Amino acid sequence: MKSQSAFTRTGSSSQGSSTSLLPTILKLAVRGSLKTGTILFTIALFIAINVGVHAMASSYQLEAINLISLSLYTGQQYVAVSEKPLANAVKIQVSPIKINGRTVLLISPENFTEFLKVSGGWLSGKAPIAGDELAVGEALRDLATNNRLVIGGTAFKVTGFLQADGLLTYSVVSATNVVPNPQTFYASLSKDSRLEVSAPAAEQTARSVFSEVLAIMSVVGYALYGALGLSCLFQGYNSLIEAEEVLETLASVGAPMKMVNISMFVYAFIVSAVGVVLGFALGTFIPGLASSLASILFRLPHLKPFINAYVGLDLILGFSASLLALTTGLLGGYSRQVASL
Amino acid sequence: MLLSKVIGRKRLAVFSAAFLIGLLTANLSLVLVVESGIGLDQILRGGETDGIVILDQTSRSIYTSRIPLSLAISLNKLPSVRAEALLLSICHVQGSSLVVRGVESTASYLPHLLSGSMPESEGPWVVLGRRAAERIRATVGRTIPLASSIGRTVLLLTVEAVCDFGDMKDDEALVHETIARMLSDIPSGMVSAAIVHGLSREKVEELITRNYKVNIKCVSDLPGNLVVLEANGLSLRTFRVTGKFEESFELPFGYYTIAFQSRYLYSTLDTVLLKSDQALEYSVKAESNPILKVASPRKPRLQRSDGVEVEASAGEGLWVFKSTPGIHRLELDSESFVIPLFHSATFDPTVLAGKTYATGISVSWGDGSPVSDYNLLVKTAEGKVVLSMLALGGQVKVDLQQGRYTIEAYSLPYSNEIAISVPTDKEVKLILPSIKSNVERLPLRYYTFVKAMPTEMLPAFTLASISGLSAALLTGLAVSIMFLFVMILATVQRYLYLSAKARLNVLSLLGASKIFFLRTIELPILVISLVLGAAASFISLTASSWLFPMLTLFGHSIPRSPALTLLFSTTIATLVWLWGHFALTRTVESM
Repeated sequence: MKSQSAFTRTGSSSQGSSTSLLPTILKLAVRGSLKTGTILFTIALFIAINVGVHAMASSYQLEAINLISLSLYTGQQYVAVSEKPLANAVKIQVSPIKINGRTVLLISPENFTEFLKVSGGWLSGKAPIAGDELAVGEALRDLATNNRLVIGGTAFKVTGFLQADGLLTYSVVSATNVVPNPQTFYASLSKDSRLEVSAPAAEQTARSVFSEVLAIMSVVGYALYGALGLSCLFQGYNSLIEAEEVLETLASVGAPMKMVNISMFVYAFIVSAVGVVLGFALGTFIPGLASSLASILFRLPHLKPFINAYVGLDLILGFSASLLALTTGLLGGYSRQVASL
Repeated sequence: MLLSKVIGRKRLAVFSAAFLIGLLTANLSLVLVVESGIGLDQILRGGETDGIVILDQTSRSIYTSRIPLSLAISLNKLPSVRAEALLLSICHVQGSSLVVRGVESTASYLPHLLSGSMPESEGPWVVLGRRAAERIRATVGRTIPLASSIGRTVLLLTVEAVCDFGDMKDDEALVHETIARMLSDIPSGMVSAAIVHGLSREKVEELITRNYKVNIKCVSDLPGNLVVLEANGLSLRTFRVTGKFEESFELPFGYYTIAFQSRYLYSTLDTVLLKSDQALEYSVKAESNPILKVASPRKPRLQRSDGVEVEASAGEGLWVFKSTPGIHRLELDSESFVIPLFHSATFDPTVLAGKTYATGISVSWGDGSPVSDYNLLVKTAEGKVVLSMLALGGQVKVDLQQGRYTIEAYSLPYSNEIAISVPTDKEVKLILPSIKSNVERLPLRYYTFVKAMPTEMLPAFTLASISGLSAALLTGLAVSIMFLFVMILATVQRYLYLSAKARLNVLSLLGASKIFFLRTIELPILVISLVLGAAASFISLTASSWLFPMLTLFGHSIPRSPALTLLFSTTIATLVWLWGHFALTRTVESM
């Protein structure tokens, strides 16, 4: 405690010499007294893993979705069915019912002709107009007897048969809704802007798979940033515990506590920034090199790491976590050592 | 306890807290990466754990492959071999992907039923796995839109049941195979893949990736066609036969039916499991004077196809006609029947369900010109052939009883089919070619354009095809993370020894041996580390039970393995302790 008082007193009376504190710390760091190399390596490795995973996943996502949307479905018509209202859609009310033990969809469209167009089917016979008329899907022909179909004890007249390979195959279409509490859907011949229910849905499927992968990677990423913080905290602490020479130097220049704090923060800032830059370089260079080698050796498409907002977020999170933890660790170690002097 | 006196309780507490947090994040990260890899491996295998998978050589995955169904049927004909056809596709539902399996029947899944009832017939139903139902928030009775990834199809399907299958199907959906075909755009006669048990990969490849020579000799009294049907009944090759016939050709491995087909005559000559070069001989003989007996109280009229009436004689309650081979028209009361008479037969009109209705069939090419010289097959809804004829004009009339039929027209390599209802449909039109239902339009080499591999190789094949180094990257990622965490936890442990350096120094000066350090400090720390490892495993398992259901891969939940989590924890804790042991030994030696 005596030494600490002496150190503090000396520090408060030597403001002028404290301006050279940061260069001194940096010189000591370059000489290896603060184990800066290990800290830099840790930060760079964490950042590189997160940046590499995100940059390559985003690059593959971009390539795959572009390939799907440009090559496979250019000019193709889309169909969308959703419980949420869609633009230029025909409203339909749907009720699953049982006829002779078989599941059948009872559909009441707002506009029969439009619905038929959207469903890609055609009608052999007449469209149902009256409340007791029905059009029956091709696969359900055998349920109709003498052009009559009984639903819930009520006999309906079958006016036509629906020919289609899809939604209408197992459907019974009525002019008005005849079953209570139907579900409402909207069917449209356009691509759903929310990309939830349009077909062909290859693009949506690819997007959802990439979202799943990125969600997993994000959880791993957050855990890694937590670990990076823990690592920087203890590495900063340990480095000052081990660096008796540094403390002697700081004592010799009589640095005040505030100046030591600022110097430690700036040192942590520089180390974190260099670590982030190194990590970014490694995270983009190594996967890019691996992809180049794979394209040469295995004739696979070459993917350039794609830098987007995810990568930016990685750099910000990595930098913040390392800066905060390293500063805290360094100051913790400094206080601990000063206390023991 | 000497450890707490040497190190200090506060430091031990800080160490324990930091070590626990470090192990926890290590567990979560590693388990997530490794279990995702394991989950992906299972998904890319289509849930199959063993056997040989056969898939389309050009496809990248089991979900995009298409192979002829006949391959699976034919392989099943081999002794001690079991081949199962799979119908799989990835669909899109409410913003996420869902793997859909086509099944012929749900009966075998009944023991897994959680709620609802198992559908028994084909229809717009879907059976959801427990986790899939939770994920898409669907309950029994609700109707959900399911979008095909490949085709322009969105189907509305009603959730009929929710099942707890106890495997990866808990994240999937079961639909009837006809619905699965609509969603995957796979035509009838094709499936996604086949899983073969009871044969080695080499043997499967040897069988299915080459063609075999077939030499057919046939002598026929009647003009007609020799038809080679593949295992699922689809016509593969047709040869015109007049008198003596000999032809050599090549066919891939398969179970084939050789049939003779002429106007109003369809006769199966042979079935062949083709797995080596074969020479086949057949003869089609007609009786020179076949006799037709008609059971009727009133005298019927029998006319030959050239219009000449055949004389009838009465005997034993039957009317007896002696004629020449060919097509005859029998008039009985007010009804008429077409009788193909090539062998002696008895005709009893009372066994017929009712009268027949004339149905007109016109077959034309895509440009509207009529098709000449084609085979026509009429099947009942149950698939029984009721009529087979060689048609020479674009339009024919056939007499059919009331009911539902499928009419198939073949002018190889083109074909098409249509379902009709008699007597509602009086005229039907068929247009050739129809690509969608025309399996035969695929070149024969397609049948051998398949690949066989063990199921465990399939994920690597798919990953390599899709994303090159993904598997290697995943492994690299897992190893890097493990290394990083060992490094971090070693730093935490180093804090413990560094902060107690002065006390350790004193112990060393007092002559404490390495064994003393090991017994009083390091082994208790190992015990603490292992206990912390077990605690971290428990906490991370609890956290993952909350976190993992929110994370999916191809719509499948990530599996959780308590054993694997514990193994990670204890391995990392032990590795860190070893690292610390060597560091402490060095420190003590330098004192």
